[in-house]
Amino acid sequence: MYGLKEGEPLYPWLWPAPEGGMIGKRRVPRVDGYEKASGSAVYTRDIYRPGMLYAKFLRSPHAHAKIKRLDTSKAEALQGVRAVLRYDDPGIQWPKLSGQALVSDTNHWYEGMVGAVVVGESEAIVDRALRLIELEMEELPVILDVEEALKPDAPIMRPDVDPKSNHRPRFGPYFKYGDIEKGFAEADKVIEWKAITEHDVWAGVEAHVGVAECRGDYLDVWHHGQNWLTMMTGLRPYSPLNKIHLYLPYNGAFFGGSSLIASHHTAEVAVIAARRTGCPVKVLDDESHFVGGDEDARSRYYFKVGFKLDGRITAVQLRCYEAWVTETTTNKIYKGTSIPNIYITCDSAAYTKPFDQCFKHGCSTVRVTTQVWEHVAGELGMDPSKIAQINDGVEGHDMAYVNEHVKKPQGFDTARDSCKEVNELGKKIMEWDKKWHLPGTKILPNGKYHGMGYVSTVEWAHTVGTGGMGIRVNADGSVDLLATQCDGGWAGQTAYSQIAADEMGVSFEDIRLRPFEGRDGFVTEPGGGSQGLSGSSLTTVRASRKMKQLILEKVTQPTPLRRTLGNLMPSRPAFFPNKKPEELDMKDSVIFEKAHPENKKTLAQIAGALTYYLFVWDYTMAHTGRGGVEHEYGMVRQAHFVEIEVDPDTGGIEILKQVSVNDGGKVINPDAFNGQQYGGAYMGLSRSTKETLYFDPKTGLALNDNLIGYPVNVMNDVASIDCAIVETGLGYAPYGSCGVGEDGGACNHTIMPTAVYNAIGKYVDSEPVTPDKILKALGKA
Amino acid sequence: MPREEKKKSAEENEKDRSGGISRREFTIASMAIFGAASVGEGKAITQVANKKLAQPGIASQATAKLPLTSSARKISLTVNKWKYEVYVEPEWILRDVLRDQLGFLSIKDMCNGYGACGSCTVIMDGRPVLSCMTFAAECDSATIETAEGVAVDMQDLIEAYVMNHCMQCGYCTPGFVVTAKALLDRIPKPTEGEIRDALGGNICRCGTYTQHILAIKEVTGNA
Repeated sequence: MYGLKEGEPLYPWLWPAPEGGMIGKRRVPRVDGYEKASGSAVYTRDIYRPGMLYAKFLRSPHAHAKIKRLDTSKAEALQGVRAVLRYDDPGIQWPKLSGQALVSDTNHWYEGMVGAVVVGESEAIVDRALRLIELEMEELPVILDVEEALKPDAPIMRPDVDPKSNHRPRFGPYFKYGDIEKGFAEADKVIEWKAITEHDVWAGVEAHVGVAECRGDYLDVWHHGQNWLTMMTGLRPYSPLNKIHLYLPYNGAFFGGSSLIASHHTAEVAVIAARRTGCPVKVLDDESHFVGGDEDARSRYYFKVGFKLDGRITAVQLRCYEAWVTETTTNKIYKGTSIPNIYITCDSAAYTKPFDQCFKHGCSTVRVTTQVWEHVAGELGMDPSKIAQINDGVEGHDMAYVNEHVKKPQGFDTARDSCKEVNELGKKIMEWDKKWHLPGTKILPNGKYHGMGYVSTVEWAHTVGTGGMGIRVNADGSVDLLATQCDGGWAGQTAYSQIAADEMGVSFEDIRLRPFEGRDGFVTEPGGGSQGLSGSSLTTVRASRKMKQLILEKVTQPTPLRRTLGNLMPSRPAFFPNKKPEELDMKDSVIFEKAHPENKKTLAQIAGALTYYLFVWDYTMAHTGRGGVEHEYGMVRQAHFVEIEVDPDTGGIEILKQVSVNDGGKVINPDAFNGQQYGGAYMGLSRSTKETLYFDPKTGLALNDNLIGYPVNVMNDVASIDCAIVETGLGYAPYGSCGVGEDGGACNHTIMPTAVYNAIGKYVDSEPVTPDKILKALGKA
Repeated sequence: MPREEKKKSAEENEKDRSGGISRREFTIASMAIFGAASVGEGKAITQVANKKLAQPGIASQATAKLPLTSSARKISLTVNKWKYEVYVEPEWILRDVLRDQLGFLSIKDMCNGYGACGSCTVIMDGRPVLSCMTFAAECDSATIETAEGVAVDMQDLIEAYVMNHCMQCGYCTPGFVVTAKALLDRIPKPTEGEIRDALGGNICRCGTYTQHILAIKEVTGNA
């Protein structure tokens, strides 16, 4: 296959990483660092266009209601207002995605839904116009609990969708592996319990925004999102796609598919408004931080688990509502354990909960393993990390089977045991064996309970992805990596540049990832998102190798005669005459003869003459062709540990120390990798201990939907975070690497119930674990 | 490494990378060009605005259409050593004037104007203030520094931020940079406790908090 060296291993995970270069190096300057620290990085909110108008939303003031009368005439008459786009405008087809809409297309409204969009010459005018809109509504029943909505006597919430039932099957109807009844029959003990989550939200950073400008048939769109291709596809109704320029500036923290409904639709509304007014329009959705809910917000989990007295689990049955414990979101209890019998049902309902967001997601599926380890360990009086180790495996098979039937044929190192390695390292850093104790047995001299929490699961970005990238050498020897924007904050631009530098032999400082923004490069898979680096590193390696080969070929050949703009450009002799490409090499942007390194030319010296020829592209489909395998198994693990104190009088939790250990397979940028670890720890612990929206039970309206009322972790909320890296090479991306971006935020989201149980000896399986719940468990409230 | 030595070394390294001209020298040269136009004249803003207008998508005085009423008043501001005169309505907040009127886009808004996140922090007359909680009309004659100014005045702080990965998405980073600069102006060698106290009000949803401590310690030689 072009781009792969002769004699190289078949599978990309077995390709050795170049040594002594940028890969794996610490203190590599982030390529986006200066822009972001100096304030010169441009985000979508920083886009201003000549003659630009501003637009804002009229949202439902009720949690569930119908519009009886919507009078926008006064707003329309206000000087400076250019348009009021109503939900019932016959000339507008409001966007929908997966059946969900930002702008209601009926008179049926939920909290967060939009009924009108006001477009005006300034934000101040738009704000004034919104206050002039007269709205009469009929309030409808509010149900805040998914299980309440499923009761037979519950009012029908969406008769327009289903007049008979609120029930909505969710990614189901079920997932079944093995024989669940047999598993319970084999068990020495069977236990049951319920766990719940409350309502955490994105509480994001750059609120949703979209900018659109029409230029004749052409359309320019600036989108605050992380997936270029999805947004581009969504713009199909508005213009032929080859007439749309879609720009993705830097993203003020998305953490995932929060973009799916609200953000994509915000950009589409900007397009609709720009078409209607003939002016550039910026749509500002300032309230979007708190609209919607995390994918597992308000979830209910009913567990039934059977196990042997030695800690081996024989059966896990889970009935869950609202949670995304599905195969499509990679069910960790199946992917990363040897538990042979699993039966999961997932359901949802029409009730008073607006859009689903997912950010640093996978919490639902991590929660299943965390809860199972905690409760089985609790019943047996064992250390939960030992339960995790005993039940480690892949898709129902133990690691002995995996070694023989997966690692060996796929070329992985059978001596590496990811679960054991992350656990041992994490426990050492945490001094776990010294600090862990039986639940509720350690009270500190200050009168507080001492608790140790633990979560371990499979790394879920362990697969290799589909991606595409172009590489161009400019006339000055600088190099562009051409791909879609990949900024999710995780230093993707830096990591791709590191790989390309080492694989091509070009100086890191000479490489920049030039995002595809409508006018350059290829429409390629995004480098960001859940798969991140593991998804797009394969194409980066291949494209880089192709470019290196091309350079070495071209410098051994004379440059042919060619015409440019009618001018005849003379041919020129080869830079390395009478040499073959294999006799040459390139390092640090210097091409040299291997046998005589003093015979050398810099890339800048040759690029002026050859720039017309130095252009390659690669598109790699995962799982197909050479280098693909039919099935990829989750063999890389992560473990997180937390040490807390619980005040028995107030129920307050103090987080003393947190340790995250991730097996990155092979880490490209350790500093960025650590960034996802400590960043995830801060976010996950925040979600696990404090983040929730509180709703008025009568009106169903959120009471703390702002950053004053909605608590998030800040600098002093966690005393100490230690991050450690294990590299087993057990990922499927090049060099055996895997991604880390989702992990810490989701795993630490589920950790606090385990720590609190260890502290007080009582289960508090309701997240976030707030002081009132602890006091209740202690019988004090 | 002592701070001055480190600063020099960083500058030399950059010179090596960029063919003999450091970013600092380039910036100083640029400031000299615009500074000459700005001496004693608030109208210099048009120079900046027009300069930025050439870049698509960047705010400028020419593109920000805001209505002025008879209540509007003229204020003068010195921002990053530049002198400006602008008309402001009584209810306009400093953040919007600095962003929309003057084009200082480092000033961000995360909390929708609740004063909860620190992303809009600027140094005003030596103190860090939340520009979203400050009426522009009350800032007449104020001297203001934004992250753009810190990037010129304290390049070693920016470099420490870059090397320590103090940013992920980067949206909140200018607010941290400005708060850190205000701290270092006040306490040249802060302890970890003082750093934590100073930055404790800034929200970073990506969770980069630990790195700011490292960067500030590094830049002050306390690492």
